[in-house]
Amino acid sequence: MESMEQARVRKPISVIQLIKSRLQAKLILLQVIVVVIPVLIIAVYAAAALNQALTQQLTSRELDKLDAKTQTVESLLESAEQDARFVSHNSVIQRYVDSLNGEPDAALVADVEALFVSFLSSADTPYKDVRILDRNGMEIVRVDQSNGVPVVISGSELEDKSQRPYYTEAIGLDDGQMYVSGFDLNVTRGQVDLPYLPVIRFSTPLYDGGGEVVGVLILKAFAEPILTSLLSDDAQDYIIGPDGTYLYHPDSSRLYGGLLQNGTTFATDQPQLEALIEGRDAGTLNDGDTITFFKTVNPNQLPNLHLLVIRQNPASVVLASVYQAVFVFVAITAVTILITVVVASLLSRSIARPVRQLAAAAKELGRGHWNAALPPVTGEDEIAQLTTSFGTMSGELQETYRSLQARTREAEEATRMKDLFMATMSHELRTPLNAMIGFLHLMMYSDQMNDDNSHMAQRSLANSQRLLTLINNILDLSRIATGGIEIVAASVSPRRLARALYADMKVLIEEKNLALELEIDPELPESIHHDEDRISQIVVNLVNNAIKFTQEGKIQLAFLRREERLLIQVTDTGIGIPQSKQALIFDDFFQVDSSSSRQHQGAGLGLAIVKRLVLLMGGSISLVSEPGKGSTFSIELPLNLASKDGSAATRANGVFSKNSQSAPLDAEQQATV
Amino acid sequence: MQIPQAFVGWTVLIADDEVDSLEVASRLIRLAGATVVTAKNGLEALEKVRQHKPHFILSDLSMPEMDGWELVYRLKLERSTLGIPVIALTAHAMSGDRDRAIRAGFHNHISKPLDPAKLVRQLVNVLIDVPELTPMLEAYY
Repeated sequence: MESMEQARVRKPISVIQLIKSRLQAKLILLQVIVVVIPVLIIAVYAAAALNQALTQQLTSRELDKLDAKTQTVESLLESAEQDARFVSHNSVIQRYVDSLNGEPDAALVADVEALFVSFLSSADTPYKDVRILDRNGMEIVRVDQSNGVPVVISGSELEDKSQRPYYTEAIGLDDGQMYVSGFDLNVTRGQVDLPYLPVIRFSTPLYDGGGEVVGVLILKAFAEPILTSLLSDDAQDYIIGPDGTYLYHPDSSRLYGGLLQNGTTFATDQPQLEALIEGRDAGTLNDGDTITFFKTVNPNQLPNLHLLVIRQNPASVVLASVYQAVFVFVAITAVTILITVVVASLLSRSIARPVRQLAAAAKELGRGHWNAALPPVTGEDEIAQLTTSFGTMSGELQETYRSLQARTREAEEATRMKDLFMATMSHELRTPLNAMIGFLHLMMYSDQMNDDNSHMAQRSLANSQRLLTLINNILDLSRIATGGIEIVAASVSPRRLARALYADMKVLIEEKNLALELEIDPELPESIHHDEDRISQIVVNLVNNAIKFTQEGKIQLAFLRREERLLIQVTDTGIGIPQSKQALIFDDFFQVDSSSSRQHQGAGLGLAIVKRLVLLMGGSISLVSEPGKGSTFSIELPLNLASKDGSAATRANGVFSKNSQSAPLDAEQQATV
Repeated sequence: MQIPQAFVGWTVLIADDEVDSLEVASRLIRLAGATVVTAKNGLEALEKVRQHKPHFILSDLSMPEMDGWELVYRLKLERSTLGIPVIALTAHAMSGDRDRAIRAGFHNHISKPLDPAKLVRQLVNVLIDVPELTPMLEAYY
């Protein structure tokens, strides 16, 4: 059994075959399906949910950070506004403002200039410059911060700023109100400062004591700290102004497209991103490569400070944590599956192994090996019960089988003894009888016999032959019944056989003054494969029977061919057989006339032997008869018998025990005979 | 009833351990005109074959000392005897013996028990195809 298992393992077989053929493989598959499919579904769902949650977390974290930065910006702006208000309401400034309706007082101007110098030097927030314009937009006082040193600008260097929004917007405001510009680049004498110097201007109207606008105070703050405070530490940042140009861009050549009129705007630079962000206040975009966070900020709701802040990070960096989490999840899932498979295989092995052993044991039992190993019985589960029952069943089967074997041996022994007895008897009875017949024949050939002696010798011979026939018939019948007769096929010429039989029978017939006719079918082959002796025995029996029951007329013997069958017919003009007896005449020892006054001798064995021999050769026999007119016996045999080798030699026991295929005559068939 | 005088002037050897059977066969063949030499077993037959040079041999298969199988084997070993046709006497019960007999070198076989009325005719029928005997037997075939 082991070697067989190994052989099966060595043979390459597909997974599907394995699953089909092995219970264990089926069980493992089942358990893997039960575990793996839900785990995979959960893993996919969890990865998606995790991704979403992490994105949301990322967005809110960025929002929080940006809110804090916006507050910083707001406080910077507020402190600048306060500075502007503080300066505008300074008493020196007020006095100067009141004086503006008259002639300019040089001393007051100097005071203002001194105040501005001191302010620029001491202010917490660094400013680029501080100025006063008159009501017509002309600079009248101006102090610039140049390389950290306040410088008073005067005379021809003062310019007309009446067209600038920081003048036009501020001149109409109420007292204390403030105009805050957007981000501008500082320009010195018509030239943009390089590197770019972003600034924001705070301008507030100056009212004199009579409540009349006489000028505008302008504080120009460095905007760099404000922009910088909006930037992140680790991302790629963009800040876009209300006009759609970049206020901050890592590539400085793209900055301030509107102011410098170089045409670079967010919309022309990154049109796809612009289209996605358009109309939205805040959000996070993920195109697989880059995570883009964006938010519109508007510190202190200043109209010129609508800013769009964009932060970009490589997705790999941002989602690394997501990937890590997913990886951990997949790893856990894989380990779970692995453990499941191992546990499943162990479990299924413990289930399948005894079943497999049982199957192997059953197979062995089927082959007649009683000592097939059974799996050890552990526990009380169904398999254990099955094993126990199997063991019991196998034991009982074994016992039954052995007792049957013993009985079969006894029966075989009895049969063998009987066969031996029959063979001995056959020999012992026939040998002396054959010697007697031989010597009687020789007596009749002797020329020393007179007629009287010849007559007695002839009667002795006839009676001896009758006795021999009877003994032969009894022994044949017995040997057919016990399987002692074998049909042996060899090459036979049917014509020669028919002529030889005709010649033999003619001698007997002529003694009784009957005619014998022979018909041989020209269709018969020259040679057939048959048992010559058995055909002879059948024909001799039938013809003898015909002679016995025919007083005058003729007997016809015919050897015919019916397709692949050999048809032998014996027809007589004898007394015939009544319909009611036709079914019985093939029975052993049957006599149509069984009265004590019967005139026909014989033991009634001839037809019984004929029938059995015919069946033994796979043939059939039938009878047509009319009392007073005669009978026709028809024997149909296969034209050729199976070859002698192997099992082809038909054993006689088939006819009476198991071999129903050779169509023994039943009551109905006999009726048609 | 007449026995054909088919073997006039012939010498025939018959080997059989059964005395009655041997005598009946001998007498029948003598009635057909032959000189009959008898042997009770194969060994005796072998000696007498060399001595008498029979036209044919009729031999039982099972005999003491030396059986018919060995007899035919020995005969086929000697140039002087290998041409002598040997007819086997086969019992029907041993039907397998017939084919075996032909293969073993017997010229043909005749079933036992012998039918006295037919024996000579049967012998003529099986010997007619021995070329040296054919001309002598044609008249009786």
